[in-house]
Amino acid sequence: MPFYEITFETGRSSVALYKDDAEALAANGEQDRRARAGEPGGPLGVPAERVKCIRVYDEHPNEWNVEQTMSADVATKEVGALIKNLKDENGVVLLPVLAMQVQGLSHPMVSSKESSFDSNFKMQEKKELALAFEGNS
Amino acid sequence: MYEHLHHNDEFDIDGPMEVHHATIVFQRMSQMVTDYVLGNSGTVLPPASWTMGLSTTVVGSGANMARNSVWSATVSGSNVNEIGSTTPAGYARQTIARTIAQGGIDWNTSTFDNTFSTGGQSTAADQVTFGAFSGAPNPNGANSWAITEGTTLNAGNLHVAADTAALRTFASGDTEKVTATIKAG
Repeated sequence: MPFYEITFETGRSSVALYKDDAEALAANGEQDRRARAGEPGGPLGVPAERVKCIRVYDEHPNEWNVEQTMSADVATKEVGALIKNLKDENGVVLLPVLAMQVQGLSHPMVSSKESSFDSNFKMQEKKELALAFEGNS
Repeated sequence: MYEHLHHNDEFDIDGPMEVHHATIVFQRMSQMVTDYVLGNSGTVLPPASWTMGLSTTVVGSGANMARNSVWSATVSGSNVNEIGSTTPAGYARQTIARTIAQGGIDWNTSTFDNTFSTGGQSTAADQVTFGAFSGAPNPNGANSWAITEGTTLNAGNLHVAADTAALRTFASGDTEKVTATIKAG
């Protein structure tokens, strides 16, 4: 079953597992309808949210590079770039900071986004769903 | 700062609305403190990211969740199960990055409470959203949430868990919000 990254108009997001696109659109169409009607979004009673974007993945986007590996050539370039960014005016790097940033190369989530509607994940989505539910703009 | 991590009453995990409920720190998290944080272990390692799941199981006081529980296995007489593991209906685990105050969903800058008896270092994760559900997941009914790792439902290590404020059952169109706050003291 495919995974779906749902981005709400608030900038919040969720990952969901549906059997197909139709199920994804039905579930999120109902959440979107509730938002337009001013209804609660769930049993907690918080307001529903309009749905801005739905990205589709073949697997959970958290599964990006689960082996936490990288080719030696790419690692050489990436670590070199980290050292270049970290070194001070004397050409010295703090090794614990470098080690932490090297670990970060394997994180599945992005560390910064240009827009709050951008994906949270490094994995490339397979496609983006056209939001065909009523009232979507 | 983690020397009392194994004491449930000193490692508070707050659920939605900052209401305090039963909590548990599982063996894997304790082991990461002793082996990875203190000893720089190369074999007991944190995952590349945390994930959060919802469980049908209440934390309880030893009979429901045990310190050495893992998902979906009878351990010490307890069995912790995840909602949606038979029919997800929109349920999936949510990712919390192993970063502090970056662009995605991660942990906020921690704060310190110097109170001798109850103080400690606290951090809250950004709120995560489950759903929208397309119908009732099977099993349905979240009694607790858990910080875990990996995305395969009903599988993997548990790290910490806390009861939800009330049983949450889900239907078509529902979402669920959870904010994890963890205090180590």
